[in-house]
Amino acid sequence: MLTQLTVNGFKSLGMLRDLHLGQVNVFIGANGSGKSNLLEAIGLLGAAASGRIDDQSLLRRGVRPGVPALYKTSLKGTRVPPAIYLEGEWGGSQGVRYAVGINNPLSEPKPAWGYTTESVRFRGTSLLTRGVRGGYLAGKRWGKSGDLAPNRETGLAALARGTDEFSGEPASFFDALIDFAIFAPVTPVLRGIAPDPAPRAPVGLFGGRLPEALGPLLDRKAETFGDIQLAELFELLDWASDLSISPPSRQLLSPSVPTARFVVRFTDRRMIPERSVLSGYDASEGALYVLFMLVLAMHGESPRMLAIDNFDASLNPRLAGKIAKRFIDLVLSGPTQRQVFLTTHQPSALDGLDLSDDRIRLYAVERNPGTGATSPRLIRISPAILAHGGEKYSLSRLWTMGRLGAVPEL
Amino acid sequence: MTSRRPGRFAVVTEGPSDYLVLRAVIRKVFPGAEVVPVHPEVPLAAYPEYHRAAGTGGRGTGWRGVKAWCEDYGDTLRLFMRAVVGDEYDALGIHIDASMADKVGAERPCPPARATTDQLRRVVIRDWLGLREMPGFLAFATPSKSTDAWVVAALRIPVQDLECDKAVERLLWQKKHLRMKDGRVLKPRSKYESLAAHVANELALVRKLCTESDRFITDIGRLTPLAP
Repeated sequence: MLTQLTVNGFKSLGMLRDLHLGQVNVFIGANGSGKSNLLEAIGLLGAAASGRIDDQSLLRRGVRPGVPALYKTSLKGTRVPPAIYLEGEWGGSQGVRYAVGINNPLSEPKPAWGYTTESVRFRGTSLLTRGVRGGYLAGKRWGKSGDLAPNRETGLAALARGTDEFSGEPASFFDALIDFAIFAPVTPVLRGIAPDPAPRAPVGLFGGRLPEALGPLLDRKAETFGDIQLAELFELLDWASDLSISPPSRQLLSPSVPTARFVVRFTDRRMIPERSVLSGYDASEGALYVLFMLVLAMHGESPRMLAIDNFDASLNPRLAGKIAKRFIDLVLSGPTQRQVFLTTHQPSALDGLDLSDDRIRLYAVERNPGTGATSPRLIRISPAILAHGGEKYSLSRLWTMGRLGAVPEL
Repeated sequence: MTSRRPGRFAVVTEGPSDYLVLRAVIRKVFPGAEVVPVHPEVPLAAYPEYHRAAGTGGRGTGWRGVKAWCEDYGDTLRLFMRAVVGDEYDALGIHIDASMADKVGAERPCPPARATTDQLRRVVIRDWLGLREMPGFLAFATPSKSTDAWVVAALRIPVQDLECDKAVERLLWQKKHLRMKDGRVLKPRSKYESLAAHVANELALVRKLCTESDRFITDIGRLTPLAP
């Protein structure tokens, strides 16, 4: 698990030192506070770990590509940094630490970013270093006849992944980091009527191929959906009584609607039986968002580390609260022990968070009034309040009362 | 009186414009103080769907909103102030205009403004908050009939018995400081923020012309901030 993140010089983050992360991390804040930039910093670290940082590598992870002038911090009163520095720690201080400096000139930028420094440490011992003079792996100079083999635009850590020194924990870290992606579901893509610009398994970053992803989870005979009972799923989708995946039928869709290879079919329990089947195109969009979240929580091919930006964008507040709670429960109890990063604007989504569980972290993301830099603040609720509970001290209520910060100045 | 100065104020006001005035005044007295509006809920406009779904609708603005907040949190005020570890509030300000005093049996002849506001404060403490005595970290702002009186004073608009005038906001419209639409004086944040700043800049004059402003400033100077 990524336990700590340090970023210097990336977008609005300025100098972000030692952000302590849990297994479930929820970021709240006004628009423009820098929540997405935080997620993108992890994506950028993942791209660096993959060995190449270019538009394709960034888009694959859900990071918006940008020219160096936009990527490098440009806050008033601060100097534009010569390089962006990123550092991630996996498994605590005795785990793995990957630090990387990357650069691309402001004028005449290149298609790929160059690596200025790179280091990997495991249990306090250096596995790999890279500087201007060359690189070392496990104390030995890296590359043929002592020269640094890779060029500046190729990550040394990625090349070292296959070596013995990188087995075990370091390999787990790099696998998870490289596979990290920021998902941002969009209704037309979820409905299957728009292509996903960032396809990947099990679902695209914008929700593409959702029906295909549902297939392995849905067992109608056993009445299960992944790790949960189908009945439980229909508690979330209270209007539906059945769910299936099948090729598109023109009986259910207008000929003008473009379709994917498979569609989700819902049975609406409120409709007369012979006309009660709806495709994902016509069904409530909330249902598709719920299924999307559940796929990410339970599917075997879902990344071990993932982010969902604005997961509640189209959800009714009550449903947002319910799916947030279910999603987090599944993440925490699942065999993969995924690490997730969520952003939300929905107060009710917070009511699914049990902040007495240290694995769950809630951050208020605000701009520092002095520097303008994004400044995440860990919210710790007093034990007396957690014990008191009740609606008037619910997290959603505390947020809307301004008690948690992270509210827009209206 | 304690030597520790309150650094974080929570304020409960009837409306957003009252908050702006209180914030400006508190910051004038305690430069750098953080003044957080806990009611009306600032994000009310940002989260209408949340409030609809939660069935809260917020608590609404006006004196009924203040009353609802007090009834909700009066029995656990200290808990509320300490809800977030490392982000505790030191002091609480509650604002209520005396224009509604007749609705709770607190109205007395005005002037003096204090005759009514004293009664009103008793109602808030005893009936709304459910407290026997005033906590040391709590201060009231009862600008008599309307907070607009402080703005009118700062703008040096001459009015007889300013604190007793129930329609003092019309003066701000007549003098073209605010606009009117559909019979209501509009108080946009950007405009009222500059009027609130004017109150802070002319605080000595406001204190002289509005006895309740003088009382509020004296009271916040005597607050006993909650221990961290």
